[in-house]
Amino acid sequence: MMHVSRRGLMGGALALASGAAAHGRPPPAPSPVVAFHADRLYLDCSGAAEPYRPPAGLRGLEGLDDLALRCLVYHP
Amino acid sequence: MADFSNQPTMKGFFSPQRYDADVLDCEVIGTIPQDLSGAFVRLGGDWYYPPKFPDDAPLHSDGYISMFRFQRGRVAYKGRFVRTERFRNNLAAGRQLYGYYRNASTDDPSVRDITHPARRTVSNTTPLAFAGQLFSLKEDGLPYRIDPLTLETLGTYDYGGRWKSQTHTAHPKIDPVSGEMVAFGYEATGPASRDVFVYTVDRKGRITREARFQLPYASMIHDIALTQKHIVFPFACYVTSPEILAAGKIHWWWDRSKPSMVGILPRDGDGRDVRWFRGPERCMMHTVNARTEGDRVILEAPFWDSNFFPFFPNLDGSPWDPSRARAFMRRYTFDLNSKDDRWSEETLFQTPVVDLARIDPRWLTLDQRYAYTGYSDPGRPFDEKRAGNLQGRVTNSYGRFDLKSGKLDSYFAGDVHSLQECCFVPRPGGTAEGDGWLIGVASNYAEMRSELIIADAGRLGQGDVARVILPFRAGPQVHGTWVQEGELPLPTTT
Repeated sequence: MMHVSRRGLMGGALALASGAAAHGRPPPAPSPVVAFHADRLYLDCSGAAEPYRPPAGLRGLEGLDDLALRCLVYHP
Repeated sequence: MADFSNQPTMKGFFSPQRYDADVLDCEVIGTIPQDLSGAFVRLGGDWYYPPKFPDDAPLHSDGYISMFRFQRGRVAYKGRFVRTERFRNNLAAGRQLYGYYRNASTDDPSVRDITHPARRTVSNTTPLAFAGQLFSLKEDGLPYRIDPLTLETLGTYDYGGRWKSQTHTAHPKIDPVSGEMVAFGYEATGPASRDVFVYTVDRKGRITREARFQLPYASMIHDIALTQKHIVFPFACYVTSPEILAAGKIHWWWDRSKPSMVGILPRDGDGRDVRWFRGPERCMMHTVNARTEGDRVILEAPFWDSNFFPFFPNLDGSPWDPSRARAFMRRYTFDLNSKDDRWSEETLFQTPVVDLARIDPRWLTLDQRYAYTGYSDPGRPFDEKRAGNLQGRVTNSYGRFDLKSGKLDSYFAGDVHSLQECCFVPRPGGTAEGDGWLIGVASNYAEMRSELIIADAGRLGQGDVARVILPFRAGPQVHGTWVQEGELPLPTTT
């Protein structure tokens, strides 16, 4: 089940509104990444952080591709 | 039913564990010191059900209390979820009923109670042993009392009805000279309120003093510092409002236009006696210690340059900046004689640190020399093939930071490890500051297990004297405390 992310919606809208207005088309949404900070994983909505890659063989993030992450964060 | 398959931050080593645990006689590498007798009690959070919103703060995960019991050279481990009201309601429903961290308006209608938000606490931050009792603490609710023999949850605690704040800090301070505890609650009269209630509790657990004051703006006071004469209240830039909460948003937002602030209250004063100082942007979470020297108050604290938490958005819409989420050992001086409301700041070490610093607890309020905390030493190896692409990003070392000389002694945990908050254990019979052990849990990302490190605090460079091996991950710790033998009733290891 997907949920609304108020933070994602606000962050995306604020960061990209100026670009959209200038070019008359909707800007591309940033691709969120799963990143690492303070010994935890977090979802970096800016897409700028270095993605976390677990060691091979562990139950990792392979089932969550970019599209799935985008749905989690930005799906209305 | 719980389904974590679409939780991108809860995978691999970071997936939830969702069990209570007992290990009656733990595997040990090395030799447990015979005079290390007592219990290392840890508290942290683990999601029993996935969060209602995927971008909710991990600070909102269910409280999990655990204990490494040391006795006669052996160690037993015990872990239990704190059975908060929220935990029990979720378990009965079989799903997550609670919404955003500290925003009751986002809860399922079956449990929503915006007039009593403290009821939704997860109690996941700090274990407290005081006046013969054990508690789990979190700053958005009242303490939960825990049975130290079994770690079963006994219920909430309000000091016999004398604690009037709706909330209770996770960072009370125990004065080693008088035995008194100073504690407080902020948002004392409800979310987004500016009210702070401060209490002094005697060594028998009786409230002896209350002071009330208001913050200049509604914010988070996560930690305080205590001197023999003053209580120091730092806070900065996290803001909220009734409008933010009513709109169903996350509780805290980072507003860098606000000043960082420190309030200083005489321990024998009332709320009118708070003296406010202000300074530039800092993220003021945890303190090391403080002392009063004449008309000056000296605070040592590993404050961050800016917003530490990725999940608390910047109010101006800018993305979270990891390059500014760096903490340094700093010293702040407040001149109570001056009419100037600014402080002076000195950076004591250029090494970025984790802000979960600890000291020898016998030196709290006094002029101590050493602070102990984790940090990332980029010169140490990390095996990315076995443990993931975390070179330079894990907490691979504990440091003993000599705040007088600037000397740093370090302990290295290993090339697939990351260290959680450490704890200083005084050696029985010892009196010198720093005479004891440094203990803490290391996450072994390659073996998918946790290891409790025990090192001589005065000889960190020689490595650990013993490691307690758990056959599973012990879960993320927020804070831990050492309980001396005889301080509480404790289970026996055999």
